[in-house]
Amino acid sequence: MSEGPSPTSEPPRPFWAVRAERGTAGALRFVLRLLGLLGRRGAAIVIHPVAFYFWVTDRSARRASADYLERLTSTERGRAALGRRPDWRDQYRHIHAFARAIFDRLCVWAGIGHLDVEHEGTAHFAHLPDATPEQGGNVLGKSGALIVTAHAGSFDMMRAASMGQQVPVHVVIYGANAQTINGFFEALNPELQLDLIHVRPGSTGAALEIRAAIRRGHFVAIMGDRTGLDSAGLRRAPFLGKPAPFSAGPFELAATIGCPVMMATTLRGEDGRYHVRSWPIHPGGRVPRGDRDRVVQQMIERYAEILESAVHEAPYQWFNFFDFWDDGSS
Amino acid sequence: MADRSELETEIKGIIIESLMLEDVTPAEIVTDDALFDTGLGLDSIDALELAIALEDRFGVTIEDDPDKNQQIFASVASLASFVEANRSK
Repeated sequence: MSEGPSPTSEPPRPFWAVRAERGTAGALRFVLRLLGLLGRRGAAIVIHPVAFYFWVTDRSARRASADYLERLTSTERGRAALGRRPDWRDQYRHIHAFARAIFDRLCVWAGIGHLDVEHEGTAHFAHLPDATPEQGGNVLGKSGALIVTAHAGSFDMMRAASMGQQVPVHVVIYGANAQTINGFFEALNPELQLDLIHVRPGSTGAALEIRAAIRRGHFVAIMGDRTGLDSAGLRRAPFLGKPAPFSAGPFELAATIGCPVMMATTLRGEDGRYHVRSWPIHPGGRVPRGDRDRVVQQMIERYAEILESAVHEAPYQWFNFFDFWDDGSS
Repeated sequence: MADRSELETEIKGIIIESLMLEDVTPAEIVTDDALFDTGLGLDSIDALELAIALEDRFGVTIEDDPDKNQQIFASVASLASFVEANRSK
């Protein structure tokens, strides 16, 4: 049932991941100095020039943005979300939203200005199964869970919001990204590195580490929109009116472990506050081998459905700047 | 060492069964070959699947120590040594 790239192929990389190697670290250091001088509000003046620079120079990001906006507005709900036919201004706004997200991320990790976060849907955590005695569980007395997130809104803000919370959140990251922009952010705040689980091609340990963390009652956050663990294949699910490939890996993993699965997004509201929101995807329990394909497909479809509503709510905060619907097979 | 080779064959059977390697026979899996990187090309979820099967069958516990696991999962031979030393059934 699975399709898509071979285990060795690299996941599609967002433009910033490539950029990061071309001196983004230098640019980020510059913004950091500016933040030190002008504070958060003052330094925010760089967001427009930075967004403009990328908008002018990064043709592939612009094209990906245009394609995405086109697809978004091909459905009635999407048209309603944007309110009009997309043009260059929307592409600019899209890229600007991304620059804004990076800026906010920088502020938070550098400890400049406080993070205004609102948690919604945390009631779902109350519905997580109670921890079994051998599981240990967390302070809520609940079992751990796999939290599947996406490049919609700022995943990093969820990490920031979860720090100091009672339930530890581990973040699964992939080799290719770790060396670039994430590496820069983690160097800013060494505490962040503590809870990382690295996935490297050919490594045996990541899934076992994830299982161990969940068994301790922790949450493990992982991207579901196509980054890493793709050797388990890609599965198509309807997304903005056309089937798109999603990573089967996180869902296969959850079905194998038998842990509950949640979806979570962190979108920036008009008011500048970040909203962490979560939804249940699967209640947990080990899925028999023969039933796994079907259950994984169901989970992915549910995930895509939630992702679609997030994108409708915040159309400019979709941060996958590549042809998302192309699975590399054509 | 009959016990040892029996155990190795059983582990090969478990590998084939738990990872649904329908086209592979136990005889085709070389006891000392690398299971992951090159050998069978198994990935992280496969390792988990295999860990669960071994835990169920032999009552061993596989933790999350990356270095230790790299060692345990290196080959059928290393898996057999681990099971031998830690089995409770």
